[in-house]
Amino acid sequence: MIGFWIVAAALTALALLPLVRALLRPSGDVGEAASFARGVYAQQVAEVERDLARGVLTPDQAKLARAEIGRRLLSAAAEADKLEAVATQAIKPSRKLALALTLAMPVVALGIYLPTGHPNMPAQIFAERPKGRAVPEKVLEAVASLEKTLQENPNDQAGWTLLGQTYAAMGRIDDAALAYRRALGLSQGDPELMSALAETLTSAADGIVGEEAHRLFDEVVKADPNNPRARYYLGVARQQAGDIKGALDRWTALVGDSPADAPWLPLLMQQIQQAAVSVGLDPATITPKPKPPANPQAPRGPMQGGGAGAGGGAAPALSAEQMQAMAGLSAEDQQATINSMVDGLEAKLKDNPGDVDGWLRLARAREVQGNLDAARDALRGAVKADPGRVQAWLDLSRLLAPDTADGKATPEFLAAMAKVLALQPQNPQALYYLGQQAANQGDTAKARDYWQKLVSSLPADAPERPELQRRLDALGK
Amino acid sequence: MSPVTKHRLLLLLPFTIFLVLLAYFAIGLTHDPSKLPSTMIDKPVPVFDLAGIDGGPGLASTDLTGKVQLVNVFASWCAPCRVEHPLLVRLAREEGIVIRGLNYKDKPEAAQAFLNMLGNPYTSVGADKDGRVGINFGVYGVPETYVIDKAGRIRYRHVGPLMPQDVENVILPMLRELAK
Repeated sequence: MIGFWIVAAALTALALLPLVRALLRPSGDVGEAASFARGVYAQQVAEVERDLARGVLTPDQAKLARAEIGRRLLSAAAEADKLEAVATQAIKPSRKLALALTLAMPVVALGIYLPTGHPNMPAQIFAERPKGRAVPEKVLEAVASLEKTLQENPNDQAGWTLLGQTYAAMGRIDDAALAYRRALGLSQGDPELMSALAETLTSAADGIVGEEAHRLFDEVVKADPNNPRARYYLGVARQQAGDIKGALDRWTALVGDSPADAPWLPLLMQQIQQAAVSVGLDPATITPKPKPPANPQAPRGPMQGGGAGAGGGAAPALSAEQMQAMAGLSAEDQQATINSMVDGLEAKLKDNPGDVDGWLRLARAREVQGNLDAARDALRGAVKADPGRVQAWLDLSRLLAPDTADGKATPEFLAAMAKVLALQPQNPQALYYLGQQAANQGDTAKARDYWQKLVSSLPADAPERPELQRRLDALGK
Repeated sequence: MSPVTKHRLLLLLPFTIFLVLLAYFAIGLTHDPSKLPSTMIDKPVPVFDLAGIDGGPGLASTDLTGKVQLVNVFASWCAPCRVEHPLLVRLAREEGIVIRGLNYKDKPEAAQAFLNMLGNPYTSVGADKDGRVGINFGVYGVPETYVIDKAGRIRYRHVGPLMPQDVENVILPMLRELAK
């Protein structure tokens, strides 16, 4: 970046240099011309004298010639004086002009550049991308030997897969597709290979999810309904077909089924944000919460108040400016629009109570609006619609959780926790609260069982460990 | 006028020419190339009869009467055509719209590979190898899409790739209106 500005400044200076030099150069031209003329006339007079001496000219002729030369000399001197006057007049302001230009040119150039230029715009990747990437010699050798092995043993599925991956990394997309196709044929429908082939075909078509890629992704989802890559691309396909709402439905559902630390979430959230804004929807309202992280660095302990998977990660809310730009509405109108959209969603769900994703969206929107009672109602609808959806139970138990770790747990909360535990046997909140309940009921064996499981799942330095250990000890033997 | 002043004025000439050109281009930039008027609007489609690609059904001007339909000018070498293609596939499969392809200055095998890869939304495709039919339609550049009414007249022309909002706001309402 700074390099760009240095180059720009150097170029400006280079452009200014000849201008300034021309303007500051002392003008000696006029005087020179006058003295040159004087020299010529003096020579002419001398020649006349020589001719007179040789007798070529008569004294009368010489006199006439001298008079003629004298007249020309006089008129030349007069002309020179006039020129000098004009010249000094013209040259006088040049120093000021030079200074003004030196200042004005960079300022004007900046004035034009700053509003129109984009110094941070990324380079045009396609134009810059070399056709074949520079590949280390060793890799080329390895590819050649792999190709040879496969010629001899064309039924080596792992070999074709590796070759496909290597070709794809080398940017040889069409070859990669061929290799994956061979591997897929040998594997008889391995979803992972199908997905890799479909993605390669998509890159080969400049990112368009074509017919075959679409069919393959469909099959992947049929075989593995949670395959995130296929679900993502099926959303992309809907977007490319102009069905933005269809794309958003697929993507938001994928968010709801993704752990909060999934590597694809940031990209997915960004896509949702852009697509939602383009059709005037509020991304925060339509995006569900992701699942709790699959590999939490530091799991939220039960002592901090049961925040089941409240790890954030939802789409960043729109700034006030973006919201206004989105639909050109005032802030109140925006709010009214969002409220009416949420009410509309609720009405739709009354007619179609089996739409679990709809209930989850509604709950999320109600929570954002601060209406926790309505959010809880929506989540009750969600668990009714699909009792196997762990996200719904997690959200419901989070909203039903007692305010403090020692607070009184409602039966509904405990029932929700039991459901969570049935679906996620390692869930820490569920283990903690169900252990607590067992302890309260005097079932120490059960309580110990729950808490023992919880302790073993906590990292050795977890802050809640000693407290939990104390409670375990308090249960007695 | 002394010779010196005359000389000076001559120096201004390149700058004056520059200013005139600048003004000319500045005005040109305000024009939207996709809104260029078509002389073909409300006129019957030009008469033509083209073979299909790869043995598929061809396209003749007589196919364009009797039903409201779209004519999409495309080519396998045209990048924006890829962008709009999934949209055409959806219009054909999900909205049941008849779309005819005019394969403009393309190799038939390349066009067939293009359709195999991205899907074929066209009821039939005419191979306009030398671009002559395209010229008669008034094609400036691919992709272009024409709305043809029941009488076989060109009613609307869209230059450039179709975008979702073009389809929702212009093309679909117009097709519904013309189908009445």
